Amino acid sequence: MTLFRNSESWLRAAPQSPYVGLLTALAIAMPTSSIYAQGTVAVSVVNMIPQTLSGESVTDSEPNLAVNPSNTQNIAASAFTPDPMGGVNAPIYISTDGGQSWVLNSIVPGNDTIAETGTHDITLRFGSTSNVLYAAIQRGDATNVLSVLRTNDFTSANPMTELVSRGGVDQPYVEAISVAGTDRVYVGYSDLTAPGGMRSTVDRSLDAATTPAPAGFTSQRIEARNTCGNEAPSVRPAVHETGTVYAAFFRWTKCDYVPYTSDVVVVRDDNFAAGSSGAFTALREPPPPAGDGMPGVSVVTDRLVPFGVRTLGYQKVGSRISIAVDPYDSQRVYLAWGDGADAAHFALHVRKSSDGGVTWSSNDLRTIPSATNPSLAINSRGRVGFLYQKLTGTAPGQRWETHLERTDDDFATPPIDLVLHQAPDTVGHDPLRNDVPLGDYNQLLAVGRDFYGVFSGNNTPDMANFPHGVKFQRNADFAARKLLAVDNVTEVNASIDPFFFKVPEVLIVDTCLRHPWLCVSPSKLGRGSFTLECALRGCIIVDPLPKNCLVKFSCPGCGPGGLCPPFYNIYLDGLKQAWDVGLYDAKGRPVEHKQFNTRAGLVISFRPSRENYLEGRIGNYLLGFEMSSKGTPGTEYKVKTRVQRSDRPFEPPN
Amino acid sequence: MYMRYLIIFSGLMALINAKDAAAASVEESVQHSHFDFKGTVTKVNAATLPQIRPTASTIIVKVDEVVHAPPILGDYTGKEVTVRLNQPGGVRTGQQFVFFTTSWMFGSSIAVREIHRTQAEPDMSSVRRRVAEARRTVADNKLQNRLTHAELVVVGRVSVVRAAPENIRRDSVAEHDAGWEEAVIQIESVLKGQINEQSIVILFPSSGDVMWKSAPKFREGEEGTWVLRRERMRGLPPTEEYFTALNPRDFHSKDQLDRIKRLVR
Repeated sequence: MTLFRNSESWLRAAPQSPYVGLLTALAIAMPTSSIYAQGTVAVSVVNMIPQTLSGESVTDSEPNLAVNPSNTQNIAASAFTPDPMGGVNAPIYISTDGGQSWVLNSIVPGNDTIAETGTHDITLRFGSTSNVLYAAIQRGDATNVLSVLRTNDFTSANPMTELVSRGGVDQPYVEAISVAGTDRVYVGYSDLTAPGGMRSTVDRSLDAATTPAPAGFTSQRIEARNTCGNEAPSVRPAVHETGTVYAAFFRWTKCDYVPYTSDVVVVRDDNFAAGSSGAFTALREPPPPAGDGMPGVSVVTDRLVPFGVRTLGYQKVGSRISIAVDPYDSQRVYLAWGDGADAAHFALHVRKSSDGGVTWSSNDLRTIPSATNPSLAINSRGRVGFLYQKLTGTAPGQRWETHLERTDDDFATPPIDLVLHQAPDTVGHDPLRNDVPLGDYNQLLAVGRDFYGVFSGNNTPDMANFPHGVKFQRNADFAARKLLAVDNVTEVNASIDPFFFKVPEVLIVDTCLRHPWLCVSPSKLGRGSFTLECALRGCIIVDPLPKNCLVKFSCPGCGPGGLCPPFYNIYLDGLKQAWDVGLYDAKGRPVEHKQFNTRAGLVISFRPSRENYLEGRIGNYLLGFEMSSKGTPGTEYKVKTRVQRSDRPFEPPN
Repeated sequence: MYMRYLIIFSGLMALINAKDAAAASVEESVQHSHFDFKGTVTKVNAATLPQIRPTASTIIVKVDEVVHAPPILGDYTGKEVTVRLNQPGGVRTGQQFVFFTTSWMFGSSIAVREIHRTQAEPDMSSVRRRVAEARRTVADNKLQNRLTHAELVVVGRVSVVRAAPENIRRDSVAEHDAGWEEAVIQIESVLKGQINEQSIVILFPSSGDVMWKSAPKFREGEEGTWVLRRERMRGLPPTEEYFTALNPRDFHSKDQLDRIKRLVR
C-alpha cells in the first residue's frame, strides 16, 4: 500500500485506489463541503490553578505548554507562578490525565523567593519519544541567566537537572524532537552579550536526553547581518524530523527611537544544525544586486515595531513571532508575527512558504488587527492552527479575546474560529507598571490530530467569559462571579491565571474529504478478521459498520422481548495499542460510546439511535482507526473482530 | 556512690546534649523549611495526590497543629498532607512528629518534602518559641549579609524621583526593561561607609516586570534606610558607577532603624 502526501501524486494514483468508492460514499453523505461547526467540537478549557491555591492572586502570565507525544495524558505547563511556599525551586504545572486536572510540582531550580514570579521567562518541551521533559528558563534568582534543564520524570520530587547555565540571555524558547533514539533540543534566545547587537542565537544539542551536562549544547549565531546594535528578544525554532530546522526572528535595522524598524527573518538548516560551523545557512538572499547573498531570508522588511511601550491596552507587544512546520512536509512552513507603529496600526500577519522558506506568500494569508501573542501549529492532517489574543472595544471598556483559528485552505475561506475566552482588560497591570499582563507569549501545539494550548487571562469566574465552557479547580462562585479562598468563604481578587485548552479533531469525514490521501480502507477482509496498515503516520482507516455486518461478522438484530435497538459490543483484538479507534456517524460526527481495554485489545460498546438503526446491520456508523505514536507505518496489524448484542452496556470482567 | 553520680551526670549531659542537638536542628531546619507542623502519620506507602506514585518514602500525615505556614495555605489544621521522607521507611502509622518541610506539589491536596523531623511534644509552646526565634535569626542573618556587603547604609528621605539619563535607558533595551529612574536621597545619617555630600543619587528600576518586580521602588517623600552598593551600568563609561538598592532587603522603613543599627557592622 502506497500513500502519497502530495496531492498531485494522489490524483495520479487515484484511479488505482480501491478507496475511491469509499470517499465517494463519504462525499455523498456530506451535506456540504465542510461539516465543521463550532458546536460539534468538544473543546475543553481548564483553569489550571489548583484548589489548594484558591487564595492566590498573582499574575500567572506568559504561559507555555509541553504535551508528551508518547503519552498525551502527560502534559506540563509553565507561567510566572511562584513556589507557593517561597522555596528555592519554582513550580511547573503538570497533568497526568490529559489536561483535565493540574497540580504544581516545584522542581525548577531558581525560584524567585521574593518577587512571587517563580522563574523569569520559561518554556518547556518533551522529547517526542523519550518521555524527557526539557525546560529553558531565565532563572528567577538571577538577572538574565539561562538554565537549560531536563527531567525524565516530571512527577518526581527531584529538581530538574541543569545542563547549561549562561548569563546575558533573554527569552529562551525550547523545541525538542526525538530522532533515532536521541533527543535533538534547540533553544532560541537573544544573546545580550553578542557583539554588534547580532543577538539572535540558537543553542542545540544532538543528544540531550542522557548525555551528562552540558549534553553537547553548542551555540549557533543565526544573525549574519549588522543590526542597529540591538535586536528583538524573540527567537523561535521549529524542528522537523527529517532534519530541517527553521528559526525566525526580528532583525532591527533602526532602533534610535520607538517604533523601531525591523525585518522579519527566517533561517534554515537541513541537518539538525549538526555542523560545527555554518549552521542555519541553507536559506540565503539572492546574490547582489537582487539581494546580499547572506544567510537568512527576509520575509518582510522595514516593518515598524513598538518595542518597549504599552500598545494594546496595558500590554506591550513589541516582539511577537511564531513559526510552524508541517509534520508531514518539511518544506511547508508558516510564519506569524506582529508589527505596526502604534495601537491603531498594530496587527498580526500570517504568511506561508511551500519551498522551505525560499519564497513566501507575497500577501498576508491572515491579518488580525489589535492582536498579540501569535502561536502557530500544524496537526497530522495538515490543518493549521493559529492562536492569538485580540483587544476589542474602546477604553476603558476594552476586552481581551483569545481565539483559536483553524484552516485547511490557508484562510482562503473563513477559518473555524473558536473564541476560548473573552474578558475585560482590568487585571494583571499594577501600580508597579507591569506592562505585560498577558505575558509575551502563549502556546499552541499539535500532537497527532489534536490541538493543545495554553493562554493567560482574566480569571473572573463568569461563564459569559468562556463561550465553550470552563472547568475551574480553584474555588469559585460562578453565580456571584467571585473567586473564593480555600475556606470557600473569603473573597479573592480577580487576577491573571493560565488556562489550558484542548481541541480534539474528530471529524474524520471532513479530514478525508480535505486530505483524501490520508484516508484508506482496511485490507484483507475476512470472516472475523481484517488488516490495518498505513504507509504514512497520520492516515485514517475508515471502516463502515454495515459492510462489517456483511463481510466480517453477523450483526444480530433485536432479540425477542429484548432492548431494541440493543447495545452492541464490537471486539477488536490485536490493535497492540498502535491504533486509536473512534466511532462516528455517516457524517463523521463522533458517536457516544464507551471503550474498554481488554487483555487482547479493545471493546467498543454503544447503542445505535432508533433513527439510525438498521436491523441486522446496526446502522450507518463508521469505525475510524488512526495510527497512534506506538504504531509503525508499513506494518500489517491483523485484527480479530466479532460483535455481541446485549441488553446492557458492556461490563468488563473482573 | 561515685559511680552512681557519674551515671547521673552522664545522663544529664546526654539529655542536655540531645536538647541542644534538637535546638540546633530546629535552627538549621527553618533555614530551608516553609511549613512546620505537628502531625500524626495516618498511612505509609501512600499519597494524597493521584499524581504521586506511592513509595516507601511517601506517607500521609494528618496535620494536628501548625507551627509555621505560608499564608496561602490558610489553616491546614486537621487536613492530610503527603510527606516525602528524607529516607524511606522509619515511621509507623500513629506516630506523631514535628515535621519541618518545604514545598513539593499543590493540587486538591498538598505534598511536601521533609527537611527534618523531631519527636512531637505534648506541649508545643517551647517548639513554637524555638521556631519563632530561629526564624527571626534567619531573617536577621539575611539582612546582616546584605549589610556586610553594602558599601553605604544611609538613613534619609527621597527628595526627587526622575528618569535616568538617556544613555542608560537606551542601552538597557530588552524585553525585561527595567525602566531605570533616579532617586535623590537627602541623607539624615550614615550608618555605614563614608559620604561627604548631603544627598546621594541612586538608580532603581521602576518596572513591574518579573525581573524587577521585587526590587524596591521609590516615591518622593519616602523615608527609611537604604542599604547601598555600587553597580556599573551598561551604557556608561566603566569609571562611572551608580549606587543601587535592588534587593528587597536593601530598603527599610524607619521603624526598622533600631534593628538595622543592631545588625550593621
